[in-house]
Amino acid sequence: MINYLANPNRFLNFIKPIEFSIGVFSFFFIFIGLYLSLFNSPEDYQQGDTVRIMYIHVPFAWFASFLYLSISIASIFFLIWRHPFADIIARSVAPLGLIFSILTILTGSLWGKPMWGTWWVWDARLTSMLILCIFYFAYIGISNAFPRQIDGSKPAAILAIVGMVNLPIIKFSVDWWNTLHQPASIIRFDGPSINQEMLLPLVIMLLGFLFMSIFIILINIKTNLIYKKYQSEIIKLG
Amino acid sequence: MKINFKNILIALIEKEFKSYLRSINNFMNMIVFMIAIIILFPLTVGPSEEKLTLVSNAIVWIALIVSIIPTLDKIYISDFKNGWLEQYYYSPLLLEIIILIKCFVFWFFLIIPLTIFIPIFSILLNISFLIIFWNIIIFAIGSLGFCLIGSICSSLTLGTKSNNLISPLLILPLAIPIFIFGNGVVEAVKSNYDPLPNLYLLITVCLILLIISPLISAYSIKIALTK
Repeated sequence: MINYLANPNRFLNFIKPIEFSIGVFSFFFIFIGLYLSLFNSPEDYQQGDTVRIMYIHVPFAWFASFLYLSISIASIFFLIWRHPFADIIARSVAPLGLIFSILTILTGSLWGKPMWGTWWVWDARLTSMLILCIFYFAYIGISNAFPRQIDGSKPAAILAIVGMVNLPIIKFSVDWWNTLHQPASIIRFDGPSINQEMLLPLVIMLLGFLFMSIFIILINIKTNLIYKKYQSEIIKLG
Repeated sequence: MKINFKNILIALIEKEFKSYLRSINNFMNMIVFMIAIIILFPLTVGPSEEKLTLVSNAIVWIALIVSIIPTLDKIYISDFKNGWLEQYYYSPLLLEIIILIKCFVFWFFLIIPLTIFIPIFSILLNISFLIIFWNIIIFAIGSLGFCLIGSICSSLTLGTKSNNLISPLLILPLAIPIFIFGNGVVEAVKSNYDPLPNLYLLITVCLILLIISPLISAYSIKIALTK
């Protein structure tokens, strides 16, 4: 399956019929999720209406780290099998991940101001998220820093793999250190500790974000493929 | 002269030492930069002693780190331009070992001399002698890890259009464990706890880097040479 889709033309033919429906799905899920989270979910007994920021903050944070993981996996594929398509996927994911990590920090600080009293604290979860953001910046910077764009792929791939160290630190920072950020409440050994009525909109939002990020990544991949074809045409013309 | 490991090692160290001696300007720049930061901080924070004692240790560290960073990403660039790296690549010695030697020489001849300035600056900022002693130990160990991180970053950015903006972005996130554990040692000394656990963690980070860094740097130098 992966071998079959690794060819750009076959990949484009494969995604052509499903691309539109993915976009529709993402719109549908995010719409329903926003409705449920804004109008049809309970208030928190301590936080009141402010808790509704959670329904976008958590998906942003999860997908910021998942997208970094996918960049690293694509980079491992690229360095081992040297398939240029893995590099294109990694490059297409990076800007979206950068935006997600910035929005995580922004929504988090908007949530933190009324709840904690500050926009920002230097605690482990927040700092590691900021470092993830810096890694995205460094990845994008180094992959475009060379005179020929293709030269930047391998250094960027190495950087992406080195930066994977940060991902377990983000996940477990709330368990290892005593942080102001609340501990994990969804992925736990003893099941989610979050209220059922709050869990449903959150799961729908997560599904919506999954489809949305796939949709945007597909657009980015198509753009990068076209750019690559354009560059090779220029080389052919001389 | 016979070609064996010992002779190659001596020749390599001699060559590196001479090249650092010829570019003594870099070293002087670092010192001038450090002095500028040390003077600027009391002027901007204000001369009152309570405020300065809170941040004095951080000022010394910031002065050292900020003055080192611009030289860190230039470990390989002159060798890359002169073609020395290709010679290293084709030499019978493993590239990883050569990189390790280069990092050690860089650390020993360019960074370790900076420890002389720690007591001078610390006395200027009223830091106690016990903390000066620990600062020197932490700096000597931590700067080795810093050099190894710099080796990764400078080899990744070989051949870029301009490598002035990316390198700090690459160095800082990787160097955070060194800052955290180094700060942990000083905090423990200040509040009369045992500083050794944090020191051991700092040494662990540096030992891990000692293993990983030459491998990654050699791999990315090979990539840079085959472009």
